[in-house]
Amino acid sequence: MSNFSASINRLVDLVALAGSGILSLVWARVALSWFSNDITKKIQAKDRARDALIGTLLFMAAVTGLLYGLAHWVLTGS
Amino acid sequence: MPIPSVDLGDLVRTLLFLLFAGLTAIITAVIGPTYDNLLVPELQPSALFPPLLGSGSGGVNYLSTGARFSGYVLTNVVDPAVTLVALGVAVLYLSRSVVSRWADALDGLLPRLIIGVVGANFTVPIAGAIIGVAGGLYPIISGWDGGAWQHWVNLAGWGQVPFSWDNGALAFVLSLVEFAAVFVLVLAVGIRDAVLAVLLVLLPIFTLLWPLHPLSPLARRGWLLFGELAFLPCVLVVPLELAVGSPNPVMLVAYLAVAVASPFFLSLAGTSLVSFGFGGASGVVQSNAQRGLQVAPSAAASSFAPAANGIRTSSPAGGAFAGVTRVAGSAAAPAAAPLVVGELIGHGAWQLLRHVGPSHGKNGPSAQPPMLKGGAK
Repeated sequence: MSNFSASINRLVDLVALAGSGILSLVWARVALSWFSNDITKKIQAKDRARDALIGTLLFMAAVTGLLYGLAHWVLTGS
Repeated sequence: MPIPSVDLGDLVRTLLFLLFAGLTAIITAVIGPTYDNLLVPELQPSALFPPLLGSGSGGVNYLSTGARFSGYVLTNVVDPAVTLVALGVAVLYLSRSVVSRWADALDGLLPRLIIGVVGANFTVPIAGAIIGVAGGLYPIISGWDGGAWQHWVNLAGWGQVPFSWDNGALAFVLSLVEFAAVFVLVLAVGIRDAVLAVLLVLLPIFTLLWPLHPLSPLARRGWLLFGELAFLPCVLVVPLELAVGSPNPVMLVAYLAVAVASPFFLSLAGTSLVSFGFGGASGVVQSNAQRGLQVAPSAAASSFAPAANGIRTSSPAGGAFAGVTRVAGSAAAPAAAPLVVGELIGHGAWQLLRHVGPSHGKNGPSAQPPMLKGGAK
């Protein structure tokens, strides 16, 4: 069981590392679009910012263990 | 005193009757206990639908063990994996923000994740509810006619003696088939119980993977299979009830065959129990004969398609012909015939209604093309 937990944690670390890179890229692109002079890019930036926000919140909740804690609390009550 | 003459034919017939009646009686002596002491106890409501949670009245059973195992898997495998799946969904959301053409494909990921996590954690209560509904329905269906199906004697009579006299060898063969069918039924019910317990353990994992599109069929098919297996006894017991007082062994074999094939009938609803060992006799036929039957109409459709397309534009009859070839090509051979007839009748009725239709009289527009000024020349 400890092996499984360790491998899951390792996977989470890997995905979190990769996700951090993607996160910075996504927000950089959103910022570029948001402050662009092109009106089309400005319109697209709103949708992109929404997706990026949802992704970031999910990402943070997963990495900090909030989701796991919630699921664990629902199941075991502790 | 004259010695009575013995007809040789009658003598041979009597000997054959005794031989086959003996063999039939031996097999019947095995079928009866197999049916009464193995199949019927398996098909009791308390055995098919034991309590899922807690010891209940039946103590430890296969479903409660599965439920406990499911809780163990949930705590130690599924909940730690929630983080991983959530991270995957988050990364997909972030990717969607970058690559706009993925936006439609990844739509609704967040609600799916929430439903997946909640569903995975509530697998056992949801499964218990499904089992509860099926367990409530089954005693009603199986209790019809006072449960007469629970005794083999009520189905086959005493040794099938009247049938044996005229059809000695046939009665023996049919008895063998009956035994095989009863034995397959015993195995099928056992496999159903085992698959239910296994699914109870695996469904939390499948449900958690549901938000990820490539893996979502696992959850959908798993839950569908669970529901079908839960309700399977309600379908399986119907032919057994109808088999009570069968007029002859052929009819009894037919009812038993329908009972054996009941998982296949259920699988027509959308999932495949065949892959779980519930193939029945139809499996081989389905894989070979049906393929051949499907090839023929498709080939015919492909042959007639150019002609049909050519005629389609020329007249209403051409349209009907094109429709008929399309319908015939889309179905297997046995189904194609009634579909073709239906298509022809439907198209004919539609054409008729166009002509007969509501009379527009003085108010409505005429269906006829307008005449040229000055009338017909």
